[in-house]
Amino acid sequence: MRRHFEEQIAECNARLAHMGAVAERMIGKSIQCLLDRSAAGHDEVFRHEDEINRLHIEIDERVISSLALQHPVATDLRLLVMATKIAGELERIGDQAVNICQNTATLLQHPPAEVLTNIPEMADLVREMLRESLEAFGRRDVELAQKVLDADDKADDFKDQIFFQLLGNMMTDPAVIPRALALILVARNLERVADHATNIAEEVIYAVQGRDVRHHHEDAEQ
Amino acid sequence: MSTSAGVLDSPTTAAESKIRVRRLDAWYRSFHALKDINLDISSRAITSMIGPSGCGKSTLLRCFNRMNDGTRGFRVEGEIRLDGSDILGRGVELTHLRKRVGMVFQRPNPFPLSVFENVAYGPRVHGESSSRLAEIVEKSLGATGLWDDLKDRLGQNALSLSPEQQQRLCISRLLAVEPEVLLMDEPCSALDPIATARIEELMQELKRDYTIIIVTHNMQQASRASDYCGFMWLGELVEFADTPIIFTKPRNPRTEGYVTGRFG
Repeated sequence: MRRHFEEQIAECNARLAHMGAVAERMIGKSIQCLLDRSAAGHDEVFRHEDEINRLHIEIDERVISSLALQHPVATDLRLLVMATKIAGELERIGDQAVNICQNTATLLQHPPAEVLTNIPEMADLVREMLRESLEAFGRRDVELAQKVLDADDKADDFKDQIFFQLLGNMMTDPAVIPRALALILVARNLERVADHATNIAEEVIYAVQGRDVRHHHEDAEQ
Repeated sequence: MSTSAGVLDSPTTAAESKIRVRRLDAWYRSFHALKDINLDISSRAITSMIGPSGCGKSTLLRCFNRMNDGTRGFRVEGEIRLDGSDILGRGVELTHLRKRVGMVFQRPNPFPLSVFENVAYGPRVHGESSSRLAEIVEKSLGATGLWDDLKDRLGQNALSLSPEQQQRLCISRLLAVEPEVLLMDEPCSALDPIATARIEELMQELKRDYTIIIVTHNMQQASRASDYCGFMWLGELVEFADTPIIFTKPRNPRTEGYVTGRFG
């Protein structure tokens, strides 16, 4: 029975790893479309959204079935709860990729901005955070997960910088308002992806070590 | 957390503990059955002991009312205190100890007597007047949820009851002598899941007034029904903590291995 259960957990993790790869591809493609000022990859992102939604439901069903039938405890319980929570985070990351495509479509209706503010740098950071959070999950690597948590503040700083820069642009030249608003929304989408990557990293730490680091919970307990 | 040296992260402070165990070792002839056990059992709470067969959990349970004393070759060293008083000393009156610390066994074992006589037997032996017996029987059967079912059948032979009713009757029989601690050795292993759930419900009600220690092979039962849980392995108390800790993030890898079914 134990081996059968371990196979179930392994299969669930494999589906989750696949879901992570799909989410990473969606974010990569949506950012590429933004930077290239092209809608050519949008259909691919929308197709992946269907796949990621289906995987979300499948993983939740697998976890619920294991909880009901196997009564997991300790590490097994934490891993399964982590799986369903990470699946939720990945599904929302997929939603953000779709949102980036939609905001890019708005941008394409306007002439290109001279510079995209810090959005390319922010996109690099967020993609790195997502990649590392998924790698931390795959390797059960707490150190790497902690690195993702540490990077979240930088993503927030980028979003604030971009917002204030574009706010200044809008005040001096009202003609750029529609384009600037779309870019502010993209910065917001990227910041949300960073938040989801951070949540994934927090789940990895909980699953591996049983430490709940959300909302500075450990600091509050000490 | 206890500050007593050598006590395994006991969730109970010495001040709250009903039973205090220190440096307890026990042997069956040359077999070392309990090894340096240190723990504090909380008052008015349910403490479960889990572990594979032969790990010493039943031996430990039976130490709490000296049920092992009659076993040939059994020897114990160390200290067990009930409300601060030593219970392992030679001068301890065993009848009195077993009145304070009662035991419920794996299989219900009612006397082949009527329902009434099963419950009245203990108080009568302890010198209770006949005039109070009816009142004690009603109260004891009421506490285990049997009174409404059996009040019109008190003369019925107890062996004709269902297994669950027999187990409840055995608990009533204990309550009749007003114990303080209830020891339960696999109390539901002979019962079906519905009866098991009802006995677990009863345990939750009884813990308001009694200190309960349960030994079980059923880890779901330990996780559902107990407040504190100890994991034993080869005569050692490996880990003792709040039950949610044992089943969500145990600290010792041997506890983790056992509760997840990886070994044991």
